[in-house]
Amino acid sequence: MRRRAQRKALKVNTDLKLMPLMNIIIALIPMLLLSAVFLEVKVIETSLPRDADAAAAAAEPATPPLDLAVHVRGDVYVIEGHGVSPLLVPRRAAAAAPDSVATQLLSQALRAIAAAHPGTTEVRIVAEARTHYQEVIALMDVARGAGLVNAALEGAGDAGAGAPPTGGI
Amino acid sequence: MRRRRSRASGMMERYTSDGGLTLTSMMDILTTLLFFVLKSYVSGGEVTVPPPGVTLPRSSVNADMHTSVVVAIDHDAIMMDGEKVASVHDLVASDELMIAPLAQRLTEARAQMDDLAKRKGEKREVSRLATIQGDAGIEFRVLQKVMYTLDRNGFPDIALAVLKKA
Repeated sequence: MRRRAQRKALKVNTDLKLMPLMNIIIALIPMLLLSAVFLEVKVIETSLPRDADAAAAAAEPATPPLDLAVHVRGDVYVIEGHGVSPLLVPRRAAAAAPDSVATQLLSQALRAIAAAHPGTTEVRIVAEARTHYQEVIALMDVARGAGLVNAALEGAGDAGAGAPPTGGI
Repeated sequence: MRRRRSRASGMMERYTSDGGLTLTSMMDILTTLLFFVLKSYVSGGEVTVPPPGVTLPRSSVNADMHTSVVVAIDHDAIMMDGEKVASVHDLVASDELMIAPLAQRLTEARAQMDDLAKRKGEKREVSRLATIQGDAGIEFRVLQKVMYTLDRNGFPDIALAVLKKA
């Protein structure tokens, strides 16, 4: 009788005490959800042309470089380069980025030029002072999609490759 | 009387539960959620949050961000490390390409980086990377001036922060 009572007294409750863990998790989840950023931030790496590049550009090579450029003008994008006849692509003047038709036309033209000039990876994007940043990034994307991975930024009033506001992807 | 009392207590016993919650399914959901949130919280590279009021442009680029000096540009101000450095209005009104207050802050930041590297005994050159977190709607002339100022003040490597297109 006494043994039975002792056995009864030694019985341990083996259930897990989950409430403290629950409390921690419930406090953690809203905190993380509030502070989490679900948008992925990426970067386009750029660097400005060095003086050495300018010097190299100044030295006259046997064949003139392609010097491909996409100019952003009022209502048109102009693709220009040595040995490439200027190509005009309509642009919506007030748009923050090229529309799908312009994007497709630009992409096709740049792909064709890149295919015709193997090894070309450079393009200048010549933007106007009031051009939106999103439009510049969109043009860099189009160029990169066409295989022109080294896109340089330039202001419409600048002197060229050595001018200050330039960069490459 | 005694019989009625015993019947009542029997009914009470039948309908009274022990009061414990069935938490297993909720625990499963919460644990899954917690892991999901933790995974998406730091997914690689440098974690960054654009300052309030800055909507980054969208791009298809896939390069991760690295630790660097951060210059943010919104419609009103240019900020460095979260502090307002210059006004966009003043900058647009000026013909100067160099933004003097930003240049001063960059010089200080560079000196600080050099000092830190010296204390650490680092022999290789300190990386001079600056990230521009520009609002998608800013004008190119503003970006142009910021890039020029960064380059001329010892930060030749510039990264343009963008949001990855879905």
